[in-house]
Amino acid sequence: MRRKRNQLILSLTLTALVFYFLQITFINTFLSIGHSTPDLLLILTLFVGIRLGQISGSLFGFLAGLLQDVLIGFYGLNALCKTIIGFSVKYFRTEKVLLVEKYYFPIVVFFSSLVHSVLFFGFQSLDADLNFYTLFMNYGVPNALYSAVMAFTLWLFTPNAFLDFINYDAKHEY
Amino acid sequence: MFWKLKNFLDGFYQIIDVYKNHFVFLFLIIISAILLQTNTNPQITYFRQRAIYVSALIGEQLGRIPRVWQYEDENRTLELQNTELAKRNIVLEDAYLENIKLRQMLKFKDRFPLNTIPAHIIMKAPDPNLSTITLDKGRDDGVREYQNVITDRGLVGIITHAEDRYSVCQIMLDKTFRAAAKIQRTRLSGIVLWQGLPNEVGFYGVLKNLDVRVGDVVLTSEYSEFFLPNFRVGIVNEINNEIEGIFKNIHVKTSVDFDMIEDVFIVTDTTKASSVRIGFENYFFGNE
Repeated sequence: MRRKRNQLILSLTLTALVFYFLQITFINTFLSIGHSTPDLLLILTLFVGIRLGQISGSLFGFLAGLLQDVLIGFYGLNALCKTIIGFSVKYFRTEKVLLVEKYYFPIVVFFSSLVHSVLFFGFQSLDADLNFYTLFMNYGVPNALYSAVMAFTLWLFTPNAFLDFINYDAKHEY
Repeated sequence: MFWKLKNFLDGFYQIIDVYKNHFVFLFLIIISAILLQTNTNPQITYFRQRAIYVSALIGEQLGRIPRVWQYEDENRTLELQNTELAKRNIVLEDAYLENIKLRQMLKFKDRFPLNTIPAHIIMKAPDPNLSTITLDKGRDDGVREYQNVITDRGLVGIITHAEDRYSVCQIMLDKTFRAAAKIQRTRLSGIVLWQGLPNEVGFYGVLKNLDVRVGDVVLTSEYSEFFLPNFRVGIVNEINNEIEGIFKNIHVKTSVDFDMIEDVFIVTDTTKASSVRIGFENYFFGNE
């Protein structure tokens, strides 16, 4: 069990790093539509949160957010938002919808991305020069849509072995 | 002892186990908040300002709670201060009134042509058999028996006893008091005596057919053996002819209010010549 946990941590770390570099190199440059870009680390955080629980989700969200904060020079903001998202995504999980997770997950991504945008741009708009509504409508909503589409796409292309592997219940460790 | 500690720790671990998700979440939120604090972005500055404002607002509201007890103490202190100030105010008012009175007496002493000694009443003895006042001046100050006692309003009485440091004055409101007197306007003579009413004496010995009117001023007369002439006694306030005998029943309101009197002058001059001159009685303040 402990071995599986280590493999899990390693695989998630590698995936996160790959997503991170993909995000800053390929996605932001070539896949952006207007100002909209999907947030791969947010998608991964939600995936971890749903599959592995609140502790894993919030820890992963925190670390992933911290990586993104390095880029924008605003330490703690993404970490805070993604920690909250990683923790609260558990409440989206129900037994019924897990049967249609492929379709359900993008919806979760969309709404969680909206919540993430509210937190993120809400904090950003504390400065008087930035308007929350403008930021939310111009960036938040398109990004949420794009992230949802990207989540669905990734789900389609992700190997079933990986999806089955990320189904580890951390409670068994304790 | 140890089992209690063990039970406590077990319970503690159980709580942690049940709420571990929330503890981890809270820990991460705190770390994020600390990281946010390290930034110098305008958003953080804005947030910091608002946080300080809100904390100050809350602190101000919460700060009122212990101040309730503080207010109680403060109220008590203020009440004491208030009482103290009220006392001081009374003293100052007394001093103010005394100042007015003393100034008035000083003016009287300056313009009064006879030699006088100011004296303070240290005791009043309103005994119907011998109504007296005790003064704080005695033989050492030049006071002698039978010297007249006056105020700026008029006659008070006569010194009946003098010790070294104090003296006793028989006032007009005494049943043994007698003084020869006259009506200022008509120069009709009579005798002043007390008839038992406060601040009022009788003027006895005026025939019913003689002219006396309400408002006439009564003065001591030259016939008096013990009183200098022309000291104001009072004003006629009631005349009654409907009595038996040949004399009028005349009531005279004394110039001096014996209820309020506190300070007097003892006239040390004993020669009648000094007070017989015309207009001497006008040195007194009338109460008409």
